[in-house]
Amino acid sequence: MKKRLFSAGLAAMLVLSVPAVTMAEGSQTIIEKKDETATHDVYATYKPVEEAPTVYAVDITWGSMEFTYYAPAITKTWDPKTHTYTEAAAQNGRWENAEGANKVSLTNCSNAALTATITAETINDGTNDYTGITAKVADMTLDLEDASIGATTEKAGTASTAFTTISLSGELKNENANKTTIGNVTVTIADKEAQP
Amino acid sequence: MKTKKTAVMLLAGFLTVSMGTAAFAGSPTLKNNTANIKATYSEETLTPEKYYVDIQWGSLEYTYNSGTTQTWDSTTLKFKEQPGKPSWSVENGADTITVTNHSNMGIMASFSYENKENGVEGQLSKTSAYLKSAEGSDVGAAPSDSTVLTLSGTLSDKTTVKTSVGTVNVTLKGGIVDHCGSVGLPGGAYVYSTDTPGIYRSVYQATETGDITFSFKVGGYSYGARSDGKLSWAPPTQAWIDVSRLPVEEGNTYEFIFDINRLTYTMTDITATP
Repeated sequence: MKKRLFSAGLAAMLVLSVPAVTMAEGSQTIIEKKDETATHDVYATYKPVEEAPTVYAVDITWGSMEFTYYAPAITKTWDPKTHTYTEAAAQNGRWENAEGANKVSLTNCSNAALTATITAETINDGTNDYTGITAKVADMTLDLEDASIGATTEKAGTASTAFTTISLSGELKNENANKTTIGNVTVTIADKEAQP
Repeated sequence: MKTKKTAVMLLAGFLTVSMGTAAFAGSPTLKNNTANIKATYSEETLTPEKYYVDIQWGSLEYTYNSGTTQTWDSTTLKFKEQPGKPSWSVENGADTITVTNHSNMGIMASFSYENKENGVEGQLSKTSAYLKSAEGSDVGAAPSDSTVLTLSGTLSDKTTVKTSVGTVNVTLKGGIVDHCGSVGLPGGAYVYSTDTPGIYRSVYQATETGDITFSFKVGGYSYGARSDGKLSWAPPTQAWIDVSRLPVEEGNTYEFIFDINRLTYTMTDITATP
């Protein structure tokens, strides 16, 4: 699933640093004589182009986020002497997913460098409590370079990409779970300069 | 400025005349052989003119924007440019010059702009400001006024680094003890101190033909011009002052010289004086 985000999108948070308005600093002259003249230069600078405002455009490619929990396997061992099976259960279950299903990829087409923060959490849906399952994000912070570096009106810039993966651990107790939502993953983006 | 407190004391003195050793018949007598010695007690408070004028300059740094704007196309990953109308911009407060008078005399601040760069012009919102004496005001509330410089015209596209395009001059003229402007003195006039204590000067240009009245204040005391060439005066506690109507003609310039020690003044038509 691919989703493009613009400012104030669904699961994306945009943080823009707004500089405080300050008075342009000048200087001071003190005159202590009756008749005197003070002089100050006036400066001008030519600005050929008004820089483009920031356009935020981030594509998120989601894996299916579908995981399968295999309960602790029961091993039945045949005893030829007794013609009976002895059962032994494994200690822990395991989580598996199809290749790429647990991957979250980001592509930055903005003319600004961004930092993406990815968080994952499991939920209690009121019927079943899945909070005993841990959802871990491999890389919670991804840096995305400004796609306009080197770009002109003739030459295109380069979109930057980054990804992370989600893994689960812990016991799924709901034996009836079948593509049941047990949590969510959230991506937020902010200007890279705004980060502490 | 000077104020005076006096008291008079008299001493009786004796005048003696040496007569030598010659002998005369009888006792010699002299007329007018006694003279009084007189002394006068005087206290003076001298308040020399003290000037302290604070000029706060904005940075006076302006940007000439070509008018071309850029937008980012996140689909093509290229910039788009759109030509537009050039304009001047300046940060908040950077275009302002503020003059604050902490002196014990009034001042006249004149503002002017001198252009260096062809095609760029500057205009000041105010070219002069009268700031009265700071006497009687708190330090933080001293008389103050500001002017704002606006640039216009076209800047060369070669000026891509900060370059001086002109200068702002602030010229101060001190010695103003009062500004007179009322119904009695249309157009107003400034009263200046001179190098002689107690002598003040004013130049008045009549804006209409008719009669004027001239009164001013020095050191809290009011002085009024009378038709007999004398100055009436009133203490700070008195709200009124005795003045006379003085005839003037529109466009003529009159010089007043006030002597508050002798309480006299002169009024001279200097219109023809170059």
